[in-house]
Amino acid sequence: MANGDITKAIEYDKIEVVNVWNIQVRQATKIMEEQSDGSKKELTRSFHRHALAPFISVKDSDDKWTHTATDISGEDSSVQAIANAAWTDAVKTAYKAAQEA
Amino acid sequence: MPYVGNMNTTFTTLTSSDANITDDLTVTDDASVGGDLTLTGDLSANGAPFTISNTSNNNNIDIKTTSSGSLVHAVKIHSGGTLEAKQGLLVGGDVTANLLDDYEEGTHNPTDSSGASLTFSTFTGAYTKIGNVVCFQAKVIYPSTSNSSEARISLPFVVGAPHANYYPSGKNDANGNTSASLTLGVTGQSYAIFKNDSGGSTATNANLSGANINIALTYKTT
Repeated sequence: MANGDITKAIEYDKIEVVNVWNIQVRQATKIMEEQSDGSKKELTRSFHRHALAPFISVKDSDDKWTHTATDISGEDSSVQAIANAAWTDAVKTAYKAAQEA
Repeated sequence: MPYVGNMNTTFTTLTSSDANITDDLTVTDDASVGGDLTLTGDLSANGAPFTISNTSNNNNIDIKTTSSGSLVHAVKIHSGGTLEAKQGLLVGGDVTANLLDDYEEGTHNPTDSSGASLTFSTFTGAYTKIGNVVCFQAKVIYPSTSNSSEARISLPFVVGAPHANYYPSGKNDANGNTSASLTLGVTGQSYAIFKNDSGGSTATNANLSGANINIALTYKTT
C-alpha cells in the first residue's frame, strides 16, 4: 500500500435487536484513501440494510402454520453472534405465538 | 480579583480567581480556564456578529458536555461546515416526541419473505429514514411461479404500529396475472404483503408470477 491508494472495506456497523426478535443489520461500505503516515482516511461511507426474524412463518390454506428457521449461515459472524444470543428458545416460542395470534 | 484589560498577547492559563475582560480579547496560543467561563453582555455591541472560528485547516469545532460523569461530544461542527448532533435535535419542543434522532440513506434490495425462496429477476431499492418514517422505493420482478404462499417482500426496517393492512403504495403494474397492491404486514415484522385488488385477500406468489412491481412506500417504523 502506498500514499493515495484507495481501499474498500465492509463492516457491519449497526446491528440492532428490535421488538425482541427482529434484528436490523446495517452494512457499511467504506472507501478509504491511504495517507502519507500510513493511516487511512475515510472518503465515503454508504449503507445497505436488511432485517432478520427467527422464522419465516406461513399459514397454509388449512390454517396450519409452518415456521421455517431463518438460515443465518450466510450472515457475518457478528450478526450470527447477536442472532444466536437474541433468539433464545423463549423468544422463538414467543415469536411463533405472535405470528399465530 | 485580577483585572485583565485589553489583551493582545500570548498567554496560557488563567488559574487565579475571576478574570474580568472588558475589551477585545485575542488569544494566539492555547488557553485554558480553570473555573467557570461566563460570557455576558452584548456580544455584538460593535455591530459585529459573535463569531467562533477555528482557523486550523481541516479541524472541527467541538462543543462538549458532561453526561454520566464523562465529557462527551454534544455538537460538532465539521471543518466542511456540516453540523453533527449524534443525540438528535429537539424541534418545536423539548420532549421525546420532539426529538429528531435519526437520518439515514441507504439501499435495500427486496427479497422474497414468503418462505418459497423465490429469486426475483430484478430487485433493487433505496430508502431514506427520517426519524421513525421510512421512505422506500424499489423495483421487483417476480419469477414465473405456481407457489401458493402469501406473497411477501422484505423491507429495510421493521414495521411499527399501527400496522396491518395499511396500503402505503406499490402495485403490480399488470404484467402478472393479478392486480395486487402492497400492504404493510404485521407490527414488528420487516416485510410487506400483497393483497389482491379484487376483494382484498392476500395474493399468492402464483398470483404475481412474472409481475413487475414498482414500489414507492412510506411507513412508520419503531
